[in-house]
Amino acid sequence: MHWLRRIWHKARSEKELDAELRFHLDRQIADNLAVGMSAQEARRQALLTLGGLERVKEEVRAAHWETRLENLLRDFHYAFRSLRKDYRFAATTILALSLGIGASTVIFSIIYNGLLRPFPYKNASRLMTFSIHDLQSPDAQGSGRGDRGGFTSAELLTFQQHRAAFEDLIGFMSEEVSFSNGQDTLQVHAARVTPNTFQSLGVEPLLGRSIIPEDASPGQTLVFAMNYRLWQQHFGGDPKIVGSRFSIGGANRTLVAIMPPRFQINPEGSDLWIPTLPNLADSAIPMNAAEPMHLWWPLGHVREGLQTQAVSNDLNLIAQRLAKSFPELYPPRFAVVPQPFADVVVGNFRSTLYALMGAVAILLLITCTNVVNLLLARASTREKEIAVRLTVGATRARLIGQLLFENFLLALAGAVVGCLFAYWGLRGFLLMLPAGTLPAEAAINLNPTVLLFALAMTVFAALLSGVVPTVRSLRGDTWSCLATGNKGTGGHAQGQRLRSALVVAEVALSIVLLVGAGLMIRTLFALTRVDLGFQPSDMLVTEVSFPDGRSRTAQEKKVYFEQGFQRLASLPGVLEATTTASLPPYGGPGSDIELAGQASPAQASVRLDLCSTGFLRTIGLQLLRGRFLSPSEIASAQTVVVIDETFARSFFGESDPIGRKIKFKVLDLIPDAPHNAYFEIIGLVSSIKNRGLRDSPAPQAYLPYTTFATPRATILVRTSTDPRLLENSVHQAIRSVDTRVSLSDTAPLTTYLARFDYASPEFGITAFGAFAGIGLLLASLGIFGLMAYAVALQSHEIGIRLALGARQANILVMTTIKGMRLVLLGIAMGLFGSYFLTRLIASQVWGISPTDAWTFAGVALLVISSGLLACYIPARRASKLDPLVALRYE
Amino acid sequence: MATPDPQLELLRGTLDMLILKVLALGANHGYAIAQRLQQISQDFFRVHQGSLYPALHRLEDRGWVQAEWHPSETGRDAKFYALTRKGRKQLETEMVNWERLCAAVGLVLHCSE
Repeated sequence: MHWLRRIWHKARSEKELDAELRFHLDRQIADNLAVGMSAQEARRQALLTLGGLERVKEEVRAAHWETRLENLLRDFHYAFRSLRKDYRFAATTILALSLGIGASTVIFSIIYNGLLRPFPYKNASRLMTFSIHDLQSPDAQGSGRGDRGGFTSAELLTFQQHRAAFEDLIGFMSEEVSFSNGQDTLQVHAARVTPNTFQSLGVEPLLGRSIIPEDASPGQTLVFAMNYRLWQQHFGGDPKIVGSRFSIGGANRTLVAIMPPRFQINPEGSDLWIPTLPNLADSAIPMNAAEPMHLWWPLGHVREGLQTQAVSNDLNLIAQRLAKSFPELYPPRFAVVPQPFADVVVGNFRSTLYALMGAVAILLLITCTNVVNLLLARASTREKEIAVRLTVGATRARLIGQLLFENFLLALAGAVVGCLFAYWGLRGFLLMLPAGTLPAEAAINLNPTVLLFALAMTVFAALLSGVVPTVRSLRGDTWSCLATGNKGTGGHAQGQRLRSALVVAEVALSIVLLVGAGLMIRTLFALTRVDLGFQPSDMLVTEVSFPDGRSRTAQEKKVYFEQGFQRLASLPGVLEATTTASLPPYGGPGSDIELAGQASPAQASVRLDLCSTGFLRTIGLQLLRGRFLSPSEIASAQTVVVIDETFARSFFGESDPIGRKIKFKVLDLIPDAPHNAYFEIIGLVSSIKNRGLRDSPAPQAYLPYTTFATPRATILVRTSTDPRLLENSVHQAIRSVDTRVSLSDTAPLTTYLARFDYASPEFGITAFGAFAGIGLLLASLGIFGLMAYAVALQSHEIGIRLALGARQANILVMTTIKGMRLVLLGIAMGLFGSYFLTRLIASQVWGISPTDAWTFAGVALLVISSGLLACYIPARRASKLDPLVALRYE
Repeated sequence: MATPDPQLELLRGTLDMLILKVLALGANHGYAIAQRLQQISQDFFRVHQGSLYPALHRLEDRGWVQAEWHPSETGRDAKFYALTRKGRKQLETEMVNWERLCAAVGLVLHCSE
């Protein structure tokens, strides 16, 4: 390969060319002198014939380039032709490559855009928030106990003042406000933000001017910024509204900025941002039990190069001082835990994504194994062709170049198709992604870096896997190969062993993926069959938010719901309706309790729901003892309570709870709730799930909903027919009570369950299932290819056996067993590996053990049957061989 | 030496064939190849060096000739070109083609009416 050497030894070849031409020139001069020219004339004439040294050199170089180009075109043509001839091989390889590239690009793009770089903010990777972690009872709910992520104004100001670890610190607080332009009033989600927010995050507004700290100085015009979506939906994207005045929660404010779509801050989403100075006087936690709001959530840039531990130390120092000033707000033992901002939203979903990343890595491994296997198979059938070309004078280097070129073409085609897969795959994934699992700011798209990385990886794999078989086939003994007339060389046995090992690896790896997918399917199955303690079908749900996020008085709330229940009761198909604090299977906020005349247990946290009389029949609870809350008790907000079995068992054991009195400590924090009041137990009901699908029920108490005012509530309606038929009429009936109260979608409870409780496992199943399916397909292709090749090689032997009287069935069984031995070995290795690897996805598995025997057995069975199919087709062909043809073959 | 007649500039393919033929008689360096061509053709072909060297390097790239540095007849090192097996095959093909071409052209030109 002269041109290759020429590139490497360019300087040397230039020198050689110069020497060659000088030799020519000197010989010409010598000859000219010999015919009697003067020295000067001889030189002149010689140069003339040569036509100038530099010009000749230029032309020689041009000639080299021409050959290079010709070679390249010829290689391309040759590669293209030979791939077209072998189109089945080419198609399989391209498919395998593109599936690997496509799947990995999708997952890595989601991880990159959703987890690593979700925010469009300045130095977003250093954005951290922090929360207080109660080291003793993280789940407690009461005065200054339990985990908390929000801080009072006084606390936030102290953190801002003493922040050594943070470059800057902002705070935000979500709030429901009424928003009016004088004619229409909307209920919108607003975020109060500290005035330094916009500068700290460094996002320029789409329209208008940025909000600066001075905007919150006393005496300045009150301003606010608007979310892109609200601007588009309600103002048709009219740029002229910037500068207009609106009434927000009763105060007049001027709109100065429209923020770009990806600006959010508040993970719950906000339509407006209102710059607000934290008020130092405000040091209590005005915590409403139902809504731990009106607290500032901190967010800031950690100083460059600072470890999380240092940040934590700094924050704890400040918090310890705060705990001295506000002892009622802090648990006895606590730690301040800093956390990257993205984690707040992504939370548990992070582990799903990492599990998928692992799955995609395994899939990529299977892909590469498959491609190597295919290339090995192809190389071994081409040994003769290569031997022939070597004997007619092709250089080895040139042959390697050509074969690599073929692999390169395959990789390129795989890359192009892979990009298409990635594009469509990503769109599919985003449709499936459960709501609220990634930050709203994240713009998930095909990431060029990720795409390039996946391309580089697979192209590298394809080239590498191409070199091994190529070099091997070139090392083969040319003459013996030609002389024996074999399709391959003596390297067979070794080649077959390598390919067998690769097939075993493929099977083992796809077992791991299948076990993962199987466990997730079993988890979803377990979740959908969880006994909630009540029947979730035939129920409609609506969530109501009262205007301005301010709870109405308990009395006003009573009027609202009584009217609502009346209108609902008149609808045909409605059996019963009730209100609750939160959507089942969640049982409302928590509270610590004290028992009258009994030492309080150390861990005495219960769930507190606010219900109406209809609750018992709407949910379908069993009344075990006493009675449920009566209409008169609710109307007059009596201090009575109904408890569930779990409650009774936890605190009263076998003794009768009726008539006992309990104090709910959380009520002391709520301004309009009865303080220091003991509630009398009047009834005992059956338990239902109140901490989500996965956890067992916690002690539950049902209080009259008139006990205190709340900014939000849920309405549950039991229907006698398919709840979807009543969606509209129920929604209208509730809406007609008070149009200022905003309603969420009215939908069957089962829809809400699907959205919040099944979406995540369904996503896991689809993603894992898709990867596992692709893995199994590739592994089956590998088995099939290997067996088909083995049968082709042995057709001579099989022919002899048949001629000697072997029965077709014998051949069939013999060949199948040979293939199945590899499959079984792969299954054994895969199950063994899965036994350890499934621990990594234990957090995604629920209701079954991560080493669930049924899953393992089912997966093994699935792989055995697909392995049998992959072996059967070539084995059948072997048994159908005509002995005469087989013996004559080759 | 006189300036080469522009009319006698050879077609590239023909020059390649002639060089291969000269090398078939024995390995040689560029200057000698030009001399031999001129001499054998009885001064008919005066090969322009600007064509000769690109042609030699092209033939080398294609693997039809291979080059080595040897001491020349004057004792000074020169780059000697030798025909390879592939080159000999190529020469045979081209000679057959050339003769068939000549014969065909001759038939046309000498045809009596």
